[in-house]
Order: sequence, then C-alpha cells, then structure tokens
Amino acid sequence: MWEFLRKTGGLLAFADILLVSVSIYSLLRLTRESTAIRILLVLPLIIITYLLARLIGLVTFTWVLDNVILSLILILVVIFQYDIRRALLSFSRNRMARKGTSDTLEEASGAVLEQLAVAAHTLSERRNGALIVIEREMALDHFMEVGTEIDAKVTSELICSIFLPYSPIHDGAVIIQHGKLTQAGCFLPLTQNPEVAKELGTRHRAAIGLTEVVDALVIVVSEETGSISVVSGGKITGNLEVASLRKLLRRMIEPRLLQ
Amino acid sequence: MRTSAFLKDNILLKLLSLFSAIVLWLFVTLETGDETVLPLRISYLNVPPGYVLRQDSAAQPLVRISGPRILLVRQKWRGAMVTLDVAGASPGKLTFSGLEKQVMLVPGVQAVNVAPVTHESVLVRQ
Repeated sequence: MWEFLRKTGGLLAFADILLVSVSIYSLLRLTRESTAIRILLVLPLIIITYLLARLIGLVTFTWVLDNVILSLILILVVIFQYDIRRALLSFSRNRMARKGTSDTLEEASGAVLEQLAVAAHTLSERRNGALIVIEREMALDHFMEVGTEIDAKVTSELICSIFLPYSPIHDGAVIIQHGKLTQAGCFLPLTQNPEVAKELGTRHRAAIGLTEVVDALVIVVSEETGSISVVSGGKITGNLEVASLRKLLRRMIEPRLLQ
Repeated sequence: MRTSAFLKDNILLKLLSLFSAIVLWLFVTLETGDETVLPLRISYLNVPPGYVLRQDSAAQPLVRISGPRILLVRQKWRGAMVTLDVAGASPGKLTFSGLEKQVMLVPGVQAVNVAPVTHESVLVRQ
C-alpha cells in the first residue's frame, strides 16, 4: 500500500485528490443539491464497478462500462441538462442595481408589489387565469424571444387587461423586470418532473418549469379555481389570500430588484 | 470555530465530493501504465516418453511486464507462465531464447524482457 502511494506521488497524490474534490464540489454547487448527490452516488459506483470488472477479467462487462465511461460526459449533459442550463444562466446575474436612496427604492418597489397583489386578487375574483413572472437575480432574456414587447409601468389594470380571455396576448406569461412590465405572451418551459401533482394544469407546470431553471418568482392565478399560488425554486405555495401574497412578495423580492 | 462551521456546512456534499475524487484518482492511477517484474514459471510440452527435463541453472527466470497498473495486479494474482514445446528434441542440453514472446499474459499486458535472456534445460533419461 505504502509502495503504491510512494509510486503514485505520496503527498502530491493527496494534494491531487484534494484539488479534484474541491473542483467537483464547486462544480456541483452550481446544480441543485439533490442532483449533485445523485451524480456523486452514481459516478463512483460506475467507476468502482468498472475497476472490479477489469480486475476480475469480465471482458464483456468491462467493454460495456468502458464505453459508458467514455460517453459519461455526454450522458451527464443529457440527464442534467436543466441543471446545467440553470448553472450557466446563473452566470448572467443581474447584480447591477440602479441608483436611488433606500427609501425611494422601498417606496417604488412597494408600489409595484401592491399593483401585482391587486392584479392577482382581481384576476382571481374574475377567474381569469394568469402567469406573472418577476425577474430576480438571473436574467430572463432567454425566455423573452417569443412574446410581445410592452415596456410599461406595472399597474393592476394593465395586467388584468392582458389576461382578459379575449386579449390576443392572454396566453403565456407577462414578465416584470426592474419594476417594469417588459413582455407579455411569453412561453415558458414546462416541468418534466414526474412528481408534480397531476391535477396541476399547464400554467402551474410552466411556472414550476421556469423556476426549476432560473431563480424568478412566478404568481399563478388558476382559471378553474381562481386560487393564487406563488412558485419559486420549483416549489409551489398555493391558495394564498391577498394579504399573505403581499407578505410573501415583500419577503421574497428585494426592493433593488424592482428598480 | 469558523473553520469547523465551514467544514460542517454541506458536509454530505463535501464528503461525497472527496469520495468521488478518491475513486477518480484510483481510476486514473490504476489505468496508468507501469512496469513490474514477476517470477516466470516454465512448463514443458511434448516431452519424449521416458525422459525428463532438468533445469540447468538454479536461478529462477524473471519476466518484466508492462501495462495498466490494474492489469499488472491481475497478472500478479495469476502469475507468469511459459510453455515450451520440446517435441523432437534429442537428449542433452536444450537452449531456449525469445521467451518474452511466448509468455502467457492477460490481454493488455506486454512482456518487455526475460532475464536471463536464454533458458537452458537438460533432457535426460528418467
């Protein structure tokens, strides 16, 4: 054993292992924890099985695993495409805050959030389905390629009129960026998660799908029940009263993100 | 205090990353090429009836082999062996050379050389 360690570099081998483990850890921090753990359980298992098969002399099994290991990068990219996309999108974070005093920031963002809460409440009472996406740190430009540019002040009246059933842009989502309603009629990626409740419709699935890949916050108004939900990080908080919606929005959205 | 908090944060992911790094290091290290020396067992084929072969020298021949470390480990378990065909040989001293080409090895392992270069045996009546 000592001979083997000496042959393979001794202290240098420890440094090598430490450096690789830090790299693996840093890389996997970009993905969700559950995904990272799945990768870290599967990858060593494949390698250990391969080494054992090669040691024993299982020729065909070694050949199969050899090819699996060769294509491992490709396989991981396909399996974890959403996590990789999420990780890459996280590099385009909107860290630039516009100038303004903290009081004016609070005031302006409070007004936007109030308009959103009122709009959700009105839409819920009218049973008009709605999907309102609020950009946070990660840019949403990638999801705005399809849609209609609006670039207007956020008002409950504007949001309600967009989601009127006869409005040509009522299908799809509206996007709020830096305190402005920038886009309407945007299509969002649907979640592929098989654990999502079957009773949830396309609107909820789109909200979950988007928040699985970016850190945006989505307000969903159900057309069937009129219930208001907030979706963030792929998790849904449903049946919200207007007061709890206000509270939740204030808690989850920093004022600087609406400037 | 801060160091221990840093280490404890996300501990499962950190431990699994370390484990993966060790496994990856093992994989790369064991797949790296290396050389080792093994004692070479010699057996004879087609020995004429009533005759035996006596090794001329007391020294055990050695074979130097090369290949991925993992296959060298497997070869160590199996040992190295060469079978020499003595069909039609006359009694007396027999000299064999080029043994490295006849050593039976695990696929992926090559014999570099055999020392001594020639192997001598004496065919005598039993």
